[in-house]
Amino acid sequence: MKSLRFMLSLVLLSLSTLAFAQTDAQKSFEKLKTLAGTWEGTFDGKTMRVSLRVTSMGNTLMHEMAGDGRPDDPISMFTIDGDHLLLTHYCDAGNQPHMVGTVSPDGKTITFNFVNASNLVSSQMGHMQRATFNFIDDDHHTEKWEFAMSNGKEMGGLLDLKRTK
Amino acid sequence: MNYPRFMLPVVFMSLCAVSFAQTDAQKSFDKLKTLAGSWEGRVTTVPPQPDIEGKLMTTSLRVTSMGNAIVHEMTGAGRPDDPITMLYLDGDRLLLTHYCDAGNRPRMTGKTSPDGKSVEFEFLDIAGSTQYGHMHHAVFTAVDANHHIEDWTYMEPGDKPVHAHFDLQRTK
Repeated sequence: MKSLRFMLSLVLLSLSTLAFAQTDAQKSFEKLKTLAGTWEGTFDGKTMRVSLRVTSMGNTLMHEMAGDGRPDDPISMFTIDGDHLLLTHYCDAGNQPHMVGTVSPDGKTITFNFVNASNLVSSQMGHMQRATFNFIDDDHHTEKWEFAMSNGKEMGGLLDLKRTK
Repeated sequence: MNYPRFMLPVVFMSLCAVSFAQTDAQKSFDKLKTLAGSWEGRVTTVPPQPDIEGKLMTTSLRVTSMGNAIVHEMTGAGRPDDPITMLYLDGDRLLLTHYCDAGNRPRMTGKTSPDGKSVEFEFLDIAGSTQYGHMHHAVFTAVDANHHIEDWTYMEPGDKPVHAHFDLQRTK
């Protein structure tokens, strides 16, 4: 797979990357990485748990959401692609929307908007349209997930999350 | 989000989908789902890679997103890398996206072998830089309920293939 030479190159690349100015996408990605950990909040009176984990040697942030008594367990993957911060949502609805993220002028909010999706078919209920991450402090953030239904309506939910680890 | 109202149609759609004939991609996807669990085994490489040759590797496969995705994760003792691979359906295709330590994300399309024992993934396309190479090919072979093999081929710069063979026993 990867030789020692390859690993050394990666380490050197990481170090050299730090020496250069980061793009807005990279800055936003680094900010999202500060959310790594486990989080808990309530939605509709039920406990929801979110975990965020840095993987793939720092190249990916994995987001997972689960709730008490709920069968769904969607996964979202955050990555950098050139100058873009991307989110791919592996949705319970069966499709995989891709969204691109932009940071607010005050740096406290990152909003991901729908670009396209794989496995998007008309028989599905719709697709995730937008995700908004709001940074409050080290142990508190909110996530708003908005779903576009196939009938043109949107619905959404706000998760108010406190860090548990 | 009004989840109860939202979830019922999703469950109904899933039941409807089961009642129709499955595509080859769906059959292959369901076959891969039988690998859900935790696995452990040694890796052998060709040409030999001293940093991982013979090392104990741990793999987990987990069905998520209400059955619409499989998360594959691989770690090794004393290794900093932790690549994630997502397996899912896109129409009549079985796809794999590998979130690689090298910073790129190759996609591959999977098909079941004629004997039904293996699901083989061929390179489709890639996002991100290939400066340090990329994962190019993967084969999952079910031996029995508690034993499977994964063969991953990484293409180093200059299109030099490195083959890694994982012989995995179920631990959970």
